Amino acid sequence: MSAILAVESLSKAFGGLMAVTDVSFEVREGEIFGLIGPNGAGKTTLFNMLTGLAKPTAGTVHFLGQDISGKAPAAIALMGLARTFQNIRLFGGMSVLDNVRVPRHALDGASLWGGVFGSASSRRREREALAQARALVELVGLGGRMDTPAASLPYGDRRRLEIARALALSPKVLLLDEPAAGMNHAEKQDLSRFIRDIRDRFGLTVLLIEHNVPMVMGLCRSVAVLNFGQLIAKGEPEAVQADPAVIEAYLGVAADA
Amino acid sequence: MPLAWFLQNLVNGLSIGSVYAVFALGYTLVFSVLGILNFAHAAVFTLGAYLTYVLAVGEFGLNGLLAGATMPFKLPFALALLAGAVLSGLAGMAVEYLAFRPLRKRGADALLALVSSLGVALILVNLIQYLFGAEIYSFPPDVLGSLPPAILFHVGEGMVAMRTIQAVLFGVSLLLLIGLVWFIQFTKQGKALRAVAENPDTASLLGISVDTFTLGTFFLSGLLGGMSGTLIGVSFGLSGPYFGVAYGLKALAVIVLGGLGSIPGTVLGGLVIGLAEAFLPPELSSYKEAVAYALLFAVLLARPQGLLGKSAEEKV
Repeated sequence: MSAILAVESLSKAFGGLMAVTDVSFEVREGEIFGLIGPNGAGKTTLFNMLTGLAKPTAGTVHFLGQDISGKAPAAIALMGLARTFQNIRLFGGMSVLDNVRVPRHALDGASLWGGVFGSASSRRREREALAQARALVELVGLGGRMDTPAASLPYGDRRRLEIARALALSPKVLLLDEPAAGMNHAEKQDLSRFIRDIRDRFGLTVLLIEHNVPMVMGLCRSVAVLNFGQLIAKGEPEAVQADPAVIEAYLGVAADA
Repeated sequence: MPLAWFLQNLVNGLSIGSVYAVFALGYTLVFSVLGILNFAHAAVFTLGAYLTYVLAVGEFGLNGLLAGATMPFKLPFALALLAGAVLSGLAGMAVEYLAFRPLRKRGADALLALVSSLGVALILVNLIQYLFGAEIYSFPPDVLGSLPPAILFHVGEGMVAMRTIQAVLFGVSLLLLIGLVWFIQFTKQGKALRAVAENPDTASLLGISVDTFTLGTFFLSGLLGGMSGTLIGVSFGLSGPYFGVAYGLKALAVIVLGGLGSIPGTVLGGLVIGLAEAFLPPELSSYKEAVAYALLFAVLLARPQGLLGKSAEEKV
């Protein structure tokens, strides 16, 4: 089983502060991989390095066998690495449908001028892209609100729309940054089902940042735990859950330590 | 008589105001993508007027490096206007390459980019002076061909005169405004551009090359600048390499009045200032340049975010 995403000795320093220190792990194709850790452990910084928003201070990221650690975010996105944000970042003024159509513009290789004087074939591609965008909006249950401005959606719908927008890139790997934040128990179960469903439907690999340990344990077959920027455990969820270092990070020092 | 007076001022105000709007939209486009004012825009405006002049008239002035030179060809005005605008768009791209991109790549403060754009503006204006000289250039009266200079309408007792050049100003500006809004609202590239303007990081994570779209924005901005420079130049003449400065200041008033970063606001701001200048009583006309800023201060007292701008809280 080959790794679709391989992180090797990745570090990020902000001035003197090490946000991420020498982190290595591999994500295998088709799995749902969990990245957990307390607040400020460096999880989002790690995502930012994977997607090109932050340049690593040291280390490499291999995606589909290619070193992407120096690439621009747009290039990495077009290779098939998509993400959502902990604090949702939709284009608030655009409609639900337009939000999902934004990534297609990049995928169709649209130059700034090409689409303005559209040929018959580009118009056909446009129609297909539109149909695909509608299907994605329907998939996340927003079919009745295609033309609603994204900013006026309720919180849970905005989360789902952000996932639909990421899926519009036709990604191979989807990074979800705390997708269950602010959800109640039933909503979390719905979300878990949804993540499994899209993984199977689109043949995705999912890398998930999550605080909610039961959700991660139910969803993932491999997890990695970050604390103060360092990888303190990785492996199967049951083993990781029993690891003393993990218990310490989450619950404080164990009573008999 | 009052009706004719009113209509006459309306014609004057709308034609010049629409050009202000087109010019100011160049600032707005760059501002909405980079959040910075591009002070070189007024220099591109000036450059556009000079380039169109040379392409349409085929001659250079009496001083400057190119004094007495003639072009091997003369373009019809419409073609020269278009070519001048495209060249101005390329100049706009050069401004992005020279003044903005290198600083952005190094993570420099926005204020530094503002100053470096001011530097590029000075270099451009001095280059124009070096090449074209400091004299006044006026488009010949027959530059629009054999069209009559004005059309007169009888309104009741009075008369309203619409100068041909006013009709050209208004018509070309209207076409540009419609084209721009169509591009931004309804084309794929326009949507991608809106995404870049709203959040460049997020847009880049969705596969949109922010650099390419920024460059495209500068092209559009330069195109609008060069086009409006020519229109003003045909109307009032080119009073020297610095003739863009006063219009640049006015356009800054337009964008703040309308609401920074708002396209409808910029159009409204341009028309309001054009109309205010037109309706200024003739005995006060020597204070025309102050009208834009007087109006700006008055509006900002009531609406600090400008006429159609979003308030700071809404933006966050």
